[in-house]
Amino acid sequence: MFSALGIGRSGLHANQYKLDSVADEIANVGTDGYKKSNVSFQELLPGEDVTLGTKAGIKKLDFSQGVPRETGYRWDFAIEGDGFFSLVNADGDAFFTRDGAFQLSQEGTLVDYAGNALVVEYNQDLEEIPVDTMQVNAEGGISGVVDGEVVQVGRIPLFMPENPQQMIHIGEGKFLPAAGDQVFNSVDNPEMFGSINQGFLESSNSDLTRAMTEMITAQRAYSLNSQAIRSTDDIMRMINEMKR
Amino acid sequence: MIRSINTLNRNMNILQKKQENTSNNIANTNTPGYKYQEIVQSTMENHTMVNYTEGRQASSRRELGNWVFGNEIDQVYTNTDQGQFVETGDPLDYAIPDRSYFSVDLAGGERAYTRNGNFALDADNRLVTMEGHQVVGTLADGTESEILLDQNGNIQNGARLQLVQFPEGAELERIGDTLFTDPAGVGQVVDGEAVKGFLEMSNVIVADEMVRLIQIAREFEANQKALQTSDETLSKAVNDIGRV
Repeated sequence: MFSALGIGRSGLHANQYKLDSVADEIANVGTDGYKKSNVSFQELLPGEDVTLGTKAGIKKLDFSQGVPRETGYRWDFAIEGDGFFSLVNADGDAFFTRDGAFQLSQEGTLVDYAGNALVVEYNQDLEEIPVDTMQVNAEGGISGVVDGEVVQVGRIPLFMPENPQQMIHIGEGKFLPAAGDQVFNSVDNPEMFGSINQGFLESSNSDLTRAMTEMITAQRAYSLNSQAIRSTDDIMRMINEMKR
Repeated sequence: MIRSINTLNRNMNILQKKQENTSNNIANTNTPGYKYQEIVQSTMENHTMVNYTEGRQASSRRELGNWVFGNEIDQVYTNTDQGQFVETGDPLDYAIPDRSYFSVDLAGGERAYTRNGNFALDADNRLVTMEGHQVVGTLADGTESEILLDQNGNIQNGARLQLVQFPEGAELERIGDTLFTDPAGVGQVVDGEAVKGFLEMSNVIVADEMVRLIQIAREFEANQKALQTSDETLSKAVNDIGRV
């Protein structure tokens, strides 16, 4: 059977997927810690004489640095360089994020907006330290002042899987390391990690200008493919009209 | 008369193939490293037509001249012109400024070649294609090796991406995924440097493909009209001649 329609359809699908990804990037231009992903196209396997279309969807996660934005809030952290914060949800599952917006829970631990606990090595309870005196340094060390003396309260470790490209994006800026991938932490391998900036958040790494131009290209490619389908449809109509 | 229907049928089959091919080029307008294909048609070998007016035995052999039974697909030609370079800034993207190809090891141990420098990192930090085929590198002493990268896409083991050049007119076999094989084994490893952070885009010329779509549809229409006319004449011959 004539496969031109199927080829055109593959082009529509691929460009639709690209548009979805671009829309996601544009929608998240204001999302802290957002990491965009790149969709690319690939030719399909050859059929008889000609290749049978295109496919898209192989994504590359783009972990390039977002610009740190000053918020002045005590529990906002931006990582400058490599590394991820680790969060643990109510079920005990751990995942990684670059979104450093945290708050102090009623139990005196650091949690994100959804109540997932930030992984911190606590030396003592945060509640015993006057909140106003607490500082977080570039290595993630939390210190506070009690009765005029500086106390090391704990440390926020950063994590990095051996291969960040293999991580699974589970939405809301959260990533799961691939099964079996070795995970490094900033306590044992401090040289691999970037620094933590207190009072800053990492802005989205969306590139709006590029996203807009990619949107235009994908949209035009989409119409081009639909044009090919229309023309194939014309030919098929002519075939049907051969015998009147 | 029936001969003409057969000739037109052949032509229409070729036009359908061309439509598939054009659809495919259109579907791959955004595929990096894609090389567009053209279908070249030719007239079939001609045969001498002979008429024996009074039967074979009467030996009044009359040559009617040469007869062509129609057209056929001569070859599917891959245009290897260079595509446009796009700066992506991705450290895993490479483009080749001259006419060479990247070498890639397929899963079965076979060697394939590609112009598509849209690479990724696998779980062992090796440079691979999007489908996971390993990219072949050359060490300083000329031996082949894998290409090991760090998190930032810098090559760790001193290897360079192997570039292979083919003589003009070498017949490369297209195997899909923008990969080619070299059945004749005429490729030569050359000294050359791939440019990092750039991608070579598809070399499809959109306006040409658009014109081709129109051309194919109209040619098909003309063939269909000719077919209808033949059919009408045939109908006259069958139904009207001999009617009193």
